[in-house]
Amino acid sequence: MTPNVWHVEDAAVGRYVGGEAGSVERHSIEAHFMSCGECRSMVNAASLARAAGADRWDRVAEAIERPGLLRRAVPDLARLSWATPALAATTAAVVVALVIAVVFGALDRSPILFVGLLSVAPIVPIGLVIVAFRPSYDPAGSLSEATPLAGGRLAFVRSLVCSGIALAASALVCWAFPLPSPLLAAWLVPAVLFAAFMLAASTWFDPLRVGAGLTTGWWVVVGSWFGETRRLPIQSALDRFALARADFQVVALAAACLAGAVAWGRRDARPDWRAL
Amino acid sequence: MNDRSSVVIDGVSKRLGRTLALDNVSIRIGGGVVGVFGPNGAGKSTLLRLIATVSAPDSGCVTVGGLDPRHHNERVEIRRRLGYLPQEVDLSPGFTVFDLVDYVAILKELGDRRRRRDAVEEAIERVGLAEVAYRPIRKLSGGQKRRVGLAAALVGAPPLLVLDEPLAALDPDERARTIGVLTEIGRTGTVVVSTHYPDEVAAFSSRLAVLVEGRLVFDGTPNELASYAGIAEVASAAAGYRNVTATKEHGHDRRPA
Repeated sequence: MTPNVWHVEDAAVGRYVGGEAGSVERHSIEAHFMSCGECRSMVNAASLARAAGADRWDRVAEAIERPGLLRRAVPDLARLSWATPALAATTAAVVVALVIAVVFGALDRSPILFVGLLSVAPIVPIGLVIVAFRPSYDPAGSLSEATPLAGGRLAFVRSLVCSGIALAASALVCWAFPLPSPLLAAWLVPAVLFAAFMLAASTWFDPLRVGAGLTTGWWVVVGSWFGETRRLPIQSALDRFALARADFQVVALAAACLAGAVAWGRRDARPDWRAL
Repeated sequence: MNDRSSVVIDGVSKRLGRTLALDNVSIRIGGGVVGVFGPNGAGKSTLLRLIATVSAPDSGCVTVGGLDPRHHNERVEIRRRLGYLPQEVDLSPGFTVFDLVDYVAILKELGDRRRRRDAVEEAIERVGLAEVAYRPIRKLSGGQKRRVGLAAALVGAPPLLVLDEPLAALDPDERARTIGVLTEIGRTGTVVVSTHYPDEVAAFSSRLAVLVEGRLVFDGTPNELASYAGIAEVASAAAGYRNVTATKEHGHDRRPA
């Protein structure tokens, strides 16, 4: 066989690798490859270099365009939360209900109102987390499923924003219309604990079931306390309520921090969030 | 092959209830428009959901751009490169087209407002909905709603598009426009499109994969499919008869390498 006396020019290699060679030139080059290992190696190397170069520029563009940590973590919080009509309505409703309960509790210190407040207020975040975790409530429906914020991240953002709004509004009203401080702590502390526990448990189980279990448990606790203390003055009754005591509150807040850490660690634990 | 949007599916099986939706499917997708064709219940949507990281396989693995969606950081990174249009799109009827696509853009981490607004307007323009951009979704036709979903998938110009029946419910003009958009994107990225009808996708796909009863029975170019010895069986399966087993018994099955 006659050895090759010519090789493909660099410019032609560039056109070939870049897909810009015409059909005649492409066929000519490919026919030449059949008998020239040197040119085959050159084209392979050029292809690899081109791929590596393209990938490098992709990475540079990606690094430039990607938002910073804060922007990634907190992207239009209010928009993400309030864009969900069910969540916005639920949050607004619970804020109004809590404000009314607190105002009435402050104006008329009857035990029934206090018990009502204690029964309902701490489970408010439970309801908000349940709504926040329901993919079917998302305004974009299943379109949101494959986005970077979908799943645990989105549920987290919504839960935190809405629970935060409800708790902050209630605490503000409590400050404006002073309640006995043990009562205030008796519902705020379990509210924080339940919110954190809900977030953590919802990464394993259906939030609806977790919420139902927590609510039932809480009502049993409040009911038994009220049964034992209903004939006592409210201040004495509160003194006998475990979560109105400082030591229990410290433990509850520590448990809330632990649950929050677990929840954050497992925020992406379930690949199949639709199964919720 | 576009490295950032290449998809490798290796020995994937997925069971939905008692049904084996995907049975040991392996395929490599590396750029251009790839059509996934098959009858109802063939496993097309299941396959696309796996690629879109919306669900996980029971066995085997899926990687996108070399990233494994089983690890949450890599899954999030894949989703940054991905636009997904599910088969069923349930949109909030009170949202305008712009607000809905903008909302999805936020979910895609397009944080800068000006850049996001440009990206949203571009996506709406590409699918031909600019004139109804501020109209509530409840006032749109079925085809227009489908295109809102497509705009949401396109926003941010992801290099990988996974579109489940993108041409369903579209009229001929809308189909032509959509095919033009997908062809254009396929020149630089990867577009995976599922369909019941191979003819509409064959016209603009560089490659077709045929699924029947969860198994990949063909993987090749549209021309190869047209001359495929088992084309009659594939067509029968598409019509709901599902009798491709005869083809395999006679040794005409063209299995992907």
